[in-house]
Amino acid sequence: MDARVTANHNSEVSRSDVELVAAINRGDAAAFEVLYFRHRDWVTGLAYRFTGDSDAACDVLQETFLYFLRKFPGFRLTANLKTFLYPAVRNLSIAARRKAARYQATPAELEQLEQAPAPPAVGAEAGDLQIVLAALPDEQREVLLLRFVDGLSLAEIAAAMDIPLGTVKSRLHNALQTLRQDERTKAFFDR
Amino acid sequence: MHEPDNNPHDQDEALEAPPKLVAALKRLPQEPVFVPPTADEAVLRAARGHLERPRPVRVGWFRFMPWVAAAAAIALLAVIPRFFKPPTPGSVRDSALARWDLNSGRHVDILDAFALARQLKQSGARNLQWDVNGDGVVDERDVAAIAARAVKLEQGGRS
Repeated sequence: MDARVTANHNSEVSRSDVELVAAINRGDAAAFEVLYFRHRDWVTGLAYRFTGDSDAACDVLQETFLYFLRKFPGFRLTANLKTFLYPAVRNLSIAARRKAARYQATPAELEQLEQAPAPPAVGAEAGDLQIVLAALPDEQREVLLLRFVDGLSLAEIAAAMDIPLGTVKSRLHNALQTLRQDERTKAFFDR
Repeated sequence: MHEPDNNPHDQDEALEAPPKLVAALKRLPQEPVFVPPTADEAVLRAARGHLERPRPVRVGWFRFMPWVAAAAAIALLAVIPRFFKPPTPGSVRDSALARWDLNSGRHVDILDAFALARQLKQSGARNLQWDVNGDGVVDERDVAAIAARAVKLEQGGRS
């Protein structure tokens, strides 16, 4: 009995996101669980990147997956699931930050909440890169991180951020150019 | 607001980061976010509640239409010939005559009279449904009425 359960679990884990979504559409809660744990850490990390707060990131995680859950039955996955989750995480993160700051921020500060916070301060070793990243425009930094940390393709980033592919390329190019030209980070480009 | 789509950076080589930079970006310290098991459980419980909810079964009455149609067709096939069948002399076709047909032989004949006579003799039947002459009592006069009717009907051609 246990062996069969384990075998079923293993077969679930090896299924693609598309196959899991199809199973969830048939009412398979176990498939949802596999999909949840497959993307949980990415969603949490992304939410933390936007909110800068662990508790808020956990709230966003839950709300994101509840939002995702409400799409069933009838959800059709036609691209990388991250491209669907990304805007949800971003919007829910902004809402969480607004909610947290509602009673202590001025309208100008609320405006600032629309922009993602800079990465947290770190030690001296990685500090230079972190400082230069923090100085990048938010939209450039986000494209850079989505591309090289989260591993999304340019097209997936365009879909996730709902911007043209050319805009993604432009932002990424400008971000890399800044890093290439900055004294503190140009060593990363030495061959 | 989208930025203009026409940009000079269409060469994907310019959009690649050196491996050293990619590695450094991935190593960037990020505060580990602890997701409490209760948060996981809340999401998964909601998922079970949402996905395993019994869905309304779409059983339309039309699902049984073929069977209903088949049954109706069979019933019609069984009934229609009766309408076209020429009446046999003495056959019981209407309810007015049906009450005379005591033995359900589909004809009013002398056997019905015998049947009522036997009932009267054995049990003194007083069932008013056998009061064929409508005088309020069931007796020998009803037997006689049936017999007279049987004779009258048989005069119509039945031998």
